[in-house]
Amino acid sequence: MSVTTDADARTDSRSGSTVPMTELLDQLHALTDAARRPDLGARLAQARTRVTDPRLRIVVTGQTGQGMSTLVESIIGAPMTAALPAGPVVVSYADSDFVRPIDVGSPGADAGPVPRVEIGTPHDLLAQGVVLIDAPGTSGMDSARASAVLSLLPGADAVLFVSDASQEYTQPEIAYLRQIQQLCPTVIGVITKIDLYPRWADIQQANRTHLTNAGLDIPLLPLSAVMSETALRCHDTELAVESGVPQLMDFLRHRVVGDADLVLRNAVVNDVRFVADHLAMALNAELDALNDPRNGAELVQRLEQARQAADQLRQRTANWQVVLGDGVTELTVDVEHDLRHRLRNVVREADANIMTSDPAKRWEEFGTWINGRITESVQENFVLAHTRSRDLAAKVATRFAEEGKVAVPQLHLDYTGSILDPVQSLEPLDSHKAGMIQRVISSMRGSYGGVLMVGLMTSLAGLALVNPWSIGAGVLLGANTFWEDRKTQTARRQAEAKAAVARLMDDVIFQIGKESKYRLREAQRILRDHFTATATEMLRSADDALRAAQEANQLHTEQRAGRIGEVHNCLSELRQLRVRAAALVAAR
Amino acid sequence: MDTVDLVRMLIHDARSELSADPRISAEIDAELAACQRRLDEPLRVALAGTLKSGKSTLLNALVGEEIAPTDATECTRVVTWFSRSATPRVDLTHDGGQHTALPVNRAAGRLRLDLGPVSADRVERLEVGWPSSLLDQYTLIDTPGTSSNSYDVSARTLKFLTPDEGSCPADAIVYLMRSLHSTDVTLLRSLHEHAGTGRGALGIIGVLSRADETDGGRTASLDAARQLSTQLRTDRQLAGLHRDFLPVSGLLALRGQTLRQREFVTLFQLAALPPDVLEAALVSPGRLMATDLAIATPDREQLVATFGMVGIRIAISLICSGASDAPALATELVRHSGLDQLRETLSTRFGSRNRQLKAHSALRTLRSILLRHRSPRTVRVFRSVDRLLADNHCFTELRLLAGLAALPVPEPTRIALDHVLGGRGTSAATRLGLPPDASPTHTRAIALRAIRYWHDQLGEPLLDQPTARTYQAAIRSCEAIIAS
Repeated sequence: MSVTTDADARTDSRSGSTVPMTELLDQLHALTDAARRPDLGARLAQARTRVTDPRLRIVVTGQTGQGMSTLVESIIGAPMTAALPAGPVVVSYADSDFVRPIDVGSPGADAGPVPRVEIGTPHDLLAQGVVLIDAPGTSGMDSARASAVLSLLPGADAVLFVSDASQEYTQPEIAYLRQIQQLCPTVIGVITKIDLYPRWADIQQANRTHLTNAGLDIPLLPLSAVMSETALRCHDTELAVESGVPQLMDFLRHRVVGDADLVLRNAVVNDVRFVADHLAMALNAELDALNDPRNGAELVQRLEQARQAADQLRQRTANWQVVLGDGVTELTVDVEHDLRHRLRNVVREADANIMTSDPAKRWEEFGTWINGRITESVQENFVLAHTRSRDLAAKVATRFAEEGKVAVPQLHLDYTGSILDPVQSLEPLDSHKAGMIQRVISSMRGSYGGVLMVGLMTSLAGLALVNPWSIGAGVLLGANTFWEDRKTQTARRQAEAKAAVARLMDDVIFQIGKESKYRLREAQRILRDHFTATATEMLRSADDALRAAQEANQLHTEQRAGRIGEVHNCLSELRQLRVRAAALVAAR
Repeated sequence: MDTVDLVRMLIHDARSELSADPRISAEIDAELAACQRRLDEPLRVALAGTLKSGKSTLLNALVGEEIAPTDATECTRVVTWFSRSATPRVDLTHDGGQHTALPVNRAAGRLRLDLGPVSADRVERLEVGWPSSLLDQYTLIDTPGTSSNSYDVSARTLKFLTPDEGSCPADAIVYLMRSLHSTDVTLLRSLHEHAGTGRGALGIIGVLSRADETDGGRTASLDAARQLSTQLRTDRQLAGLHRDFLPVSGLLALRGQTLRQREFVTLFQLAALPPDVLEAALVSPGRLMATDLAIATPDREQLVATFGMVGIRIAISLICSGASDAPALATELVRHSGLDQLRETLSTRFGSRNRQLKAHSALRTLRSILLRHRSPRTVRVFRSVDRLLADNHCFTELRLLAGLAALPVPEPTRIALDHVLGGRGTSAATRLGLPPDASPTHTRAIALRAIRYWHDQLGEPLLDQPTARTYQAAIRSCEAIIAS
């Protein structure tokens, strides 16, 4: 996503909350540098980038004609001017209004998952780091477009699902909602056009019932863009409240932005605690040794034990690596089997479809259908891979540290963007009818045999070679050859069509299999690196504590007093940092 | 003697031949009798479409009375038949053929259908008898919406429209949709396939329903609906399917036909308000109720409940453009709704082919009965049935008429084709564009000239196949005029 507008402006606006966090992280970073622990420093640097890029992506989607773009307009309180091309529109913060197309390098491509147009406008919600993405409406029609919208979702922080108050949720809409929620847990149902339908409350209730029956827990917010627009024009605050748009904004601000902020704060606080704990461990050990040199030997012994524990930890890493290895093998097999199973079903349907009639006439239509089915299957397969690998990560995390307090890395396996591009399209079928002359000749050949056979026989009875009987037989055999010819041709085309489908599937399995294996391996690598790093950090801390205590034992008395002061200072600073970090969460 | 009489004779023959056969039970005879009765009944037209596409409202608008229950949420749950009857009655068949007469419960002009203790899945048939001139011509069938979240409700409709065995009981289908969705394409395709195998309804009329809401409920909505209907004619996804959709607003049509003086007075008072006050009041239903106006609140409530915000807006704009009394407003509302076009299409497509359609349905049923009970006595009848079934030019015409809008021909040719194929009426004079009192010899001469004309057109080397087929059908239609 090439959205890089005015990052400073956005950070500034949230500076109230982010500055204390960055300061905290910087101070702690200085301490880790002093303690010569670059590994912990790297972790803090990562957290810092997360804090300074607080962009929040909200995707607006729904079925065609439900008023999605109007909703976006009423959220930002400005019309989206100019004729916009089909394809997602990105709305983000800017000091002054602008509309510009995004250069994606392939102007020929149809509305893909890549946003085509970026709109900037000064608005306080956007200033909080919200980026709205107005996805094109799906009509459930071409699954390629639907999957293009779905591919926007894994990176989104929230999804607004739009449906108007003229009717309750239909079955395709509920199915779509299910799919959405799998990819992005924060979904908000928006019921638009409540200015037109007096009975919108009934619709809302019916929708709630449908959602409950489907086991979906989604907040429903009714609103009217027209009312909000009128309210804005007439400065009518009461009407603005009635329109429901302010409520949606509040919801986005407090629940979505707030939640995202809370998640971010929690992550930062956890990181701070983790790093502070590890630093304090070494410092405390040193302090113990400095305060009571006689206990030094005992302490060293205790630290030896700690080291052994750390070693055990490393051994346990071997254990989790086994779990991860096994899990990935199993996952790869399952995912591949699932893909093959799905595609086999497609092939079976396609074969049944081909056998119903001559495929040459409707080959193009058939091609679109089969492409749609393949895209759908691949999408579902990738979603499966995604959820399964997330489960695996959680499983490994619990194995790695029984208390389960280990962070799990982010994985994104379900992006299908242009994955099917390298796949060759369905090859054209030779659809010409055999020339009339060809068919006439072959039927003549058939009739010739008939004439000759019967003519010879009847000539024994004294008739001429060409007589009514032989001509009759000729006509019969000729017609027979003609029909046979036609049947063979249909059968041949059906066989060709099946072969084409099989070749296409081969190609799909080859390309997708490769991609899928690559992604799974990538996921495995990410998980392995992540957990190895965590293990090393723990071990290093234990080692450091051991070294510090040993060094402290050998210090002279005069130096000892100074060092005790230093260590005390460091520890109190760490304590302060922890208290401040805790306050960050408690403030919420 | 026309086809219907021929069919009646054939059924009679079949009955007498089969009744001599001792193996044949009374059940078969009853089936044949039903088949014969069908010939005297009106044409069966089913209204189908997805959930909340406005089927019941359109049915009410066609009949002109609120006899099909409607609601803001999903309402129709069983397939309901509306047929002619001297007095209002509601008959329920359930649980393997039990008949119950339900009370006719009518409140504020709306019929309420309460199934009582019988749950929807036990209902076999719900039939409402009503005195109405439209029901004399057609038996209307209201189906529950497809793509409903209640799976069994949608399943009931699908079972009715595209049954796995036997054929669809409806002769024609009015298909409603609000905008094209993949589920519509799927259902239209399956209807098309069923018709192709001779088990589905014989004709489809497409309706772009709730046309008043197409463009976000602004007053120009009906124009937007017309535009959408033009777009659909060239939509790639509908290739090979029905693609002619008439924009109709069932709500406006119904309100036009049931307009009361009181409602008109309220609307008139609203229209008389200063524009800025009116605009502010019409922003939302809540505003309309809350604004301090000299109109009684119950009246306003009633208006919002019946007309809806879109209906109120359109009615007011009609009053402002000159509808000064209740009858004038009623006429304007109906004219605006597109109902007349739908009625006209119904009557030219199906009404005038009424007898052929019914005869064809009866023949199909007769054939399946004879096929099940083959006996040497009925061979002759069977052959006659097949011979009559082979003449299906009437259906060819219907099919081509539906696809006429998409043909790449100049507009005058399209109009001429519409006439010749009987799109404007099936009499010889209408088909040839002659005055109704044209003499037979003149008609004959013109028909001959028409044949020659379409033959010449066929000679065009760059003609595409659909157009060529239409020209051939036009020739065949002219030949039929000469033959009769």
